Amino acid sequence: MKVNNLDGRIEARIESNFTIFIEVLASSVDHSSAGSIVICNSLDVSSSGLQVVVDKPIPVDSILRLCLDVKDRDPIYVVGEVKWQRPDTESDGIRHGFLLFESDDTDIDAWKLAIRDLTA
Amino acid sequence: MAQQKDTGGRITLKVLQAALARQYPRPDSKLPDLDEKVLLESLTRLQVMDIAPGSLLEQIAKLNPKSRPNQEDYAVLCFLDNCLSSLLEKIKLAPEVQPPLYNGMAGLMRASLAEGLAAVSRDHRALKVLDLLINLSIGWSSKLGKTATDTLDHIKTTVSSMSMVAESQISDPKIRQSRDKFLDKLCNDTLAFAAQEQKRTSRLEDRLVASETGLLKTSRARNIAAGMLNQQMQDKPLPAEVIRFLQGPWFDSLQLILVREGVKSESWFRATKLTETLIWTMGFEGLDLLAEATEDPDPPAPTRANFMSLIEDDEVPFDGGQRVAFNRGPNSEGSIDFPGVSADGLSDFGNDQPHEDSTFLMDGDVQPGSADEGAAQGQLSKEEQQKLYRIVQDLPGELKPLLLSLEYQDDAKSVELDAIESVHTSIMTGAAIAKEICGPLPCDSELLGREAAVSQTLISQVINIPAGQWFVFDAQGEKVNHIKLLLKLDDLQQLLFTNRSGIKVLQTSFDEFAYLMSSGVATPINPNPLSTHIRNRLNTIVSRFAEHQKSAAAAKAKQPKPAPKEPAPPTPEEIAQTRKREEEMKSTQLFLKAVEEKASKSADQQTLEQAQQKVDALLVGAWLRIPGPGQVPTDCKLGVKLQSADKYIFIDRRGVKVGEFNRQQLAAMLVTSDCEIIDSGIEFEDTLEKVVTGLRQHRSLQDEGE
Repeated sequence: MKVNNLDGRIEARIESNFTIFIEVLASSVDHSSAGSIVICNSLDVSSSGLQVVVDKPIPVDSILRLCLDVKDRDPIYVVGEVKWQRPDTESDGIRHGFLLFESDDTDIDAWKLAIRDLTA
Repeated sequence: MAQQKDTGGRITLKVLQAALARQYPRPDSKLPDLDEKVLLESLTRLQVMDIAPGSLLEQIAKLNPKSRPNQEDYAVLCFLDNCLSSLLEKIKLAPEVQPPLYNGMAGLMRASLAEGLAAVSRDHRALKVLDLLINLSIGWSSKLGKTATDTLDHIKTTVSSMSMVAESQISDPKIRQSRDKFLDKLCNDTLAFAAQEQKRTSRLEDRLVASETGLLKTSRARNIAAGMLNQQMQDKPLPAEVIRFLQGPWFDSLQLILVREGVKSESWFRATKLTETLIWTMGFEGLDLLAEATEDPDPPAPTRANFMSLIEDDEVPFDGGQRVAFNRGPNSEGSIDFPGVSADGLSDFGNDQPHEDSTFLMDGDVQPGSADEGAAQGQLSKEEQQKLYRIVQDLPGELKPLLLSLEYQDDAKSVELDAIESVHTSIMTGAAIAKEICGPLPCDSELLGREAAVSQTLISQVINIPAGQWFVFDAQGEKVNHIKLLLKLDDLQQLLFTNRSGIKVLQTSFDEFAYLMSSGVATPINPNPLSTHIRNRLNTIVSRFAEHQKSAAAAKAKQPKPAPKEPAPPTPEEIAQTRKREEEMKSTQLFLKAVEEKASKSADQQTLEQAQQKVDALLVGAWLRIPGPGQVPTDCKLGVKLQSADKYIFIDRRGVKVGEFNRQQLAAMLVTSDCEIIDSGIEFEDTLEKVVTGLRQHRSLQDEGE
């Protein structure tokens, strides 16, 4: 795990491979149609965002639910917006940058705590 | 201290020493430097002493309470000490095998002081011996009985032998050669010991591979066949004979096809199409051809022989464009493309071209198997009748060669096919047939199902795992285990793992194991664990040191920061999009203003407050019908709730933003009925939670087999 504080950014980024679940399609309102989840790895995470690699592009500006699955911790559910995407140079996948919302009814506080612990 | 050799290459001795000194500064101590000879003697003693796992430096300090190694020696010893303890922490070897490994490390420390850390970290024979001993320790457990005892004895003996290597005069080539030869012998002895152990286990493993491969294939075939049949038969009323056939000999035959030929075979494709066709033919009712054809008030009982003879004698009118009515429910006319039949009316079951979506199309896109299909009423044209008759006529013949479960039972086969033909005759002649909807066949549902997809980056890690790879399996709340990949079936996407005794401990799919690896439950163990660990840590320490030097130099030179790049000017499309968004926003703002005014005029304070309370009670995930772009009512869900910022962002199922409102606007829209709450988002387990919970609960070994 590597901590970066590059480019003058405020939050430290942790270069790490966490399992991330992305809800690319939500369940329908009556639950008759199931949603669709993509399971991928993070490239780096910070208290306000993360970078992932997935197989198919997710449109920029999409607002999606995410789950960070870290061993020995409860799953952390947050909401993030796709701010950018570009091809991954190391694989056939596509990198996406998510900015997380400080939304109510999410685990954003738990996320920040987890990042702080991991940084420490 | 003996001359430290230069590392060569990019990293000089000086840099290495400086990097290690920075990483491991000698604690401030008033104690004098420990004499080199005494230090080597201490390490020699530690090679043979009974020591508890832990810091070797602490042991050295205990043996020499009145002095400390100098900075250079301290950094090297601390580095190696750290490497072993962090590696053992990472791979979680059994506590019983750890002490002799610490004894061995004491020997490596001696070699490092004598020959230099860089030389030792580059394929030194002592390091190789230690790697082999660590590999022998993976999966070790006292429950393995005599095997465990023999293994531990071998490790202790080998480490004890290493202590006999003298490090003095090691610069003498002859002495060095003799030392290397001795250590090579230790390596070979350990390899031979491991090979002997593997020979005992491999018999068990070979049997396991043979039995498990068969079981996995059979189990997978069963699940695929059951899944296909359940999907085709779901909610379809079928005669009891057909249900019995499909869920009996046909189900057995499907499994045999899958086991023998696989899911990508032509036979499986044909069997799937035939299943669909057979079920589809059961959907026709009230053809009543026999009565019409004979005009006999008391027509003969509909039998296949009677019916086929009518067709042959042409008593069923096909000419003059006469159409046969069939009752499929509410009025729906149109032409029908028959599945499995090409344009010329001939069966194309043997055709390699798969039909796009295995459905037939009517005007209005009525799908076979859908409620609409059963409810559709229409008329068959002459051509369609002929096609239907041909299908019904040919179907038993097509089914026969694929009834593998009755391969050598011709009589039983005939009985089954006659039953199908009998049902078809009844259908074609309008006889009443009782139908029922059957329950599904038992099917082990896949853990991930269709709702979740694992990215290729994760899957490729699994695909690249070599057979024989060991893993640390450390699930939360479970005992840590070592598991070895014994079998990888690419076609079935299944993995089989054993323990050191060759007993099966885990069977899982590629997807599930990709998740286990990604979440850190399953961590691969490098085949050269210690040497790789030492090299990686050394590289990290040196890299950090180099970065530190660079930053310090930059700060000193006071280099100006590079100017930020100017953003590229917007393209015409981007300008148009921005304008469109701005216009939409303006329109929405005007609409919302009008709504708020209307609400404040029409509703009393209490109504408004009630509406506000409803807004406050909304949870992320709540579904509302709100005015979307162009004020079109749109079902969407609350994606983001920022109560402190008074912002509610609504999105559709794909995460596309539909609208953004504040509390007052939402309340006003509720009052004026421009907005409706469909579901307030009381917590429920949706797909995301189900997938996450399901995978996390599944993190355990099936049996330890000890």
